[in-house]
Amino acid sequence: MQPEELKYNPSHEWVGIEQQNGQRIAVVGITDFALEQLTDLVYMALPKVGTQVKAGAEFGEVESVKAVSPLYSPVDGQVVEVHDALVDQLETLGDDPFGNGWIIKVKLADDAQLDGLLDYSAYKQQCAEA
Amino acid sequence: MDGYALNDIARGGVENMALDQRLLETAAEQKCVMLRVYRWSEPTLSLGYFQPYAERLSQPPSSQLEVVRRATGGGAIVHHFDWTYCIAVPDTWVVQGEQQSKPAKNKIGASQSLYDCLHDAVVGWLSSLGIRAQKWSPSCAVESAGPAVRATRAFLCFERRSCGDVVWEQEKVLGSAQRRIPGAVLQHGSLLLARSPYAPRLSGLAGALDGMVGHKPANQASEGFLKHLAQAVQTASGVTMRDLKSLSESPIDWNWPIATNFAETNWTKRL
Repeated sequence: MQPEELKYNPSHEWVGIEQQNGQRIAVVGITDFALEQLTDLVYMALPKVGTQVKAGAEFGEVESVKAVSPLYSPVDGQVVEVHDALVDQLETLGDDPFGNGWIIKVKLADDAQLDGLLDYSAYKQQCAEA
Repeated sequence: MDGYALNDIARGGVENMALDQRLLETAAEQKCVMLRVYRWSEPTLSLGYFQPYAERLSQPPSSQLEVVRRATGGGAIVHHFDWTYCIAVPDTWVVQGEQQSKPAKNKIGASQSLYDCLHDAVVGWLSSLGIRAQKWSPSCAVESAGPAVRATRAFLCFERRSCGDVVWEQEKVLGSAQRRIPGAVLQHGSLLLARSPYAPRLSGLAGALDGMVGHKPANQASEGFLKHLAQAVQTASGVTMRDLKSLSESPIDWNWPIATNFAETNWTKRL
């Protein structure tokens, strides 16, 4: 996915939309900026397929060398796919954070929630001010 | 912003972890700094947040100890001859004088300024006692290749090395790790005072402090350590740190239920 086409949580998760069997599916990952801040990743804990996630609520956790940090969902919905392979290949996140580094896919409950997220330029501005 | 520092009594592992969680919640809710130095009422193994429980069974010296799981990551620690500290700071906490230092809202990962503040303070405190410790970096590894450099995924925290760990005579003597929640960051750290039979490969400070603080009761001995940490936090951030005689003097709202998960098998053995 192209970063310019995605929406962003202020807490550094990105979300893109893809169509699957006529349904709108939110693809969620974390940004290159977040990965830079996290430095070396050690562990990642992800939800199970079927889990209900809420916008702004924690859906997973990641441990870097010195800190455990939560991951927050940008949208409400049901988890329909989890990128479990990431847990054993955390370097994939850094190699391709906006593509093969996706973390979960969520069946969107409310499209309108996307309007409340940051667009690319607003997110870049936030990063520049951090 | 207010800050509070407590040289606490020795407590059991579950109580220590639950109290630290409450300090973290207090920092987030009341936007204050909470610092606690403490000991453990019995030798206890604390597992890092993501460590598989089964790994402890392959470590015979500590496999029979009481065990708790921390909210912070990193490797396991045998709390026997150590002083543990916990500091919780709100996301509005900033280090003064750093041009780039801004409140931690929307930050992810470690707070390097908090980490450096505490580790620099410990190096300074040890130096004031004549112990020339330093912060570890990969260049230290080149200088001290040998037993000091061990696997980064070793079971025990003190057998791992990461940038900023405090080392003395090639041995790690202080390690710390953090956890973020919305609104605050918790940092746990452990200063290894001497070798424990439950972790015999680790010498830590090898009793080097004994001549200076060892003749005092344990709670008095750690008083100077706490004061040095509190002073460092105050100097770095401008937060006025007040000494507490007990937790009852703290701003903790005891009407809130204290975390009970640390006592549950499902938590301790969750991985």
